[in-house]
Amino acid sequence: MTNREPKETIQLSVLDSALYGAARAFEYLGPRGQAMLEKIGEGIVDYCLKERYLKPSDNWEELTTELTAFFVENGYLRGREVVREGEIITEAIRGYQYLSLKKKLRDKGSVLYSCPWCVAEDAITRTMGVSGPRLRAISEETLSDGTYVRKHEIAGGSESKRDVLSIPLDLSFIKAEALPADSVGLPVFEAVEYGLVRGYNYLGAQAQLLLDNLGIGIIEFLEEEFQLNLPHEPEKSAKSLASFYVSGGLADSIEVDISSSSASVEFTNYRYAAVLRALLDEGITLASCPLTLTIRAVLRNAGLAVKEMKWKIGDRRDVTLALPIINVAGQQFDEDRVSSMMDAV
Amino acid sequence: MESSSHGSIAESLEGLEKPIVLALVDPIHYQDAVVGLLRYFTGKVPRGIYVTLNKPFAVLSKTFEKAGISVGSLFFVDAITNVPSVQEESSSICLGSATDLSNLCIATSKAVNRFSEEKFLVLDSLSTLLIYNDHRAVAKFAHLLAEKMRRWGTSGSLLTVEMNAERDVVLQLAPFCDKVVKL
Repeated sequence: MTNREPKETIQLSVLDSALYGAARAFEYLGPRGQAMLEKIGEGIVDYCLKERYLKPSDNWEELTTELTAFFVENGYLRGREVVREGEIITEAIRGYQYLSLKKKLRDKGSVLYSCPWCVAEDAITRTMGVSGPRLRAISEETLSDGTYVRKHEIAGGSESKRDVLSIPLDLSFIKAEALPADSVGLPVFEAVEYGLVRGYNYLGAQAQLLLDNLGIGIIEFLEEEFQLNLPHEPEKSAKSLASFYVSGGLADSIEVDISSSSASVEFTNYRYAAVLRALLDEGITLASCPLTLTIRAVLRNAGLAVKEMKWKIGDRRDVTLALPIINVAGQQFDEDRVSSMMDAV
Repeated sequence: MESSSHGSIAESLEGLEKPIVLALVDPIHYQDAVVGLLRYFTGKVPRGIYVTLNKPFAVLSKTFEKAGISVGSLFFVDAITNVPSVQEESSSICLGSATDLSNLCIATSKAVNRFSEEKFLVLDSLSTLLIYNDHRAVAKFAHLLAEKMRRWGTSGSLLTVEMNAERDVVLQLAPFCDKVVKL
């Protein structure tokens, strides 16, 4: 029994900012960065199973079909058709919300894709050891109705992730909700946010360093796409970011205060709260909330580092975040003095 | 991955006596690389000091045990487990925080002094320190540690996850280590 209740929505811009940040954060690894993005996919699948958006199954076809259904129901795409003609496979994706982000990343020269549906599907097929013929992309286009069409040629071999031909084509059982074009269902956002942390938790505390890199990319996205002009003062920047994320539906209101030794953020009706609760329950203190990551990036840019983040979840979805901060810009490490101390023990 | 890491470590360090290695670890294969590295050192040196800033030593012990590594030969300096004050036991010391580089140095020095036999030291990882510290301070810290390891006659490895160039400390540290190994 899957959990398919009517959903809350969140602006696509909030989700896109995180997905853009993720793709940019791993570009330094080149094509290997895709494996890091696939880790997010593993986390997305975990979340969907945990929240019963997916039924556990040993059958990868069932799982990927259910996964597609989840993304369709949450307005991330309207449907996918796959047709084979000889050695050519044509895949048409209707109402694909990732399309503009895909174009933006492509324009930046990125070879990575962070589409949550794709990376989650990749995670399923890889972890279940699915193999099939090698496929070579031969063309892609966007039709006048917005449908994204890509063609692949079967190139032989058996190293590819799966045989696309065996994907069930009948998705008619899915009842896509009429979501606004610039929104997605909150569960998709939650799954991605959970996936970001769960996917990198195996790295331990240093995963936050990788997640912090997302913050830099997110700011780039907001500046370029929404002409967000961040002032030099960290507090003003953080307030400006908070205001953006309130308009995107991350919370009903967000209050930010920054002093020389701490920062605090108060969220009212915070749409990240369910993810946060799940992570804290699992003993995970890493954060993936896009606003939190951008505030960390802003502070770091000002020579300030965040120590342990302290979350307090109140009634319903009201959440307070305390960030003790230290000034590292002028940090000194006196090698001679410490060396003497080491010798003395 | 485990065996290839191990293989490549052994090949890379062949001929080096008590090598001090800067291990640049691919984040995708981090766990396997750490296990491979540890397997290499535990196979050569009877005693090891493992400084963990990433995962609590209790978690690491189980992982290493599962991988067939003799955990009994390791002493953990743990700067990640949340403890109200320093807690020292026979196989570990928990410091409670990774933010103070000086304390970390002193605790490491104490741990090394506990054992008279030949030992190795693994620091896991410099990347974590970069979350809380300026990269120049981290580079100085690592430089001092490498210098001390040489003076103590201790082999070992400073780990760092492969990062983008902005926060990369590899260039600054490479000259102080015997070898930079990509895992």
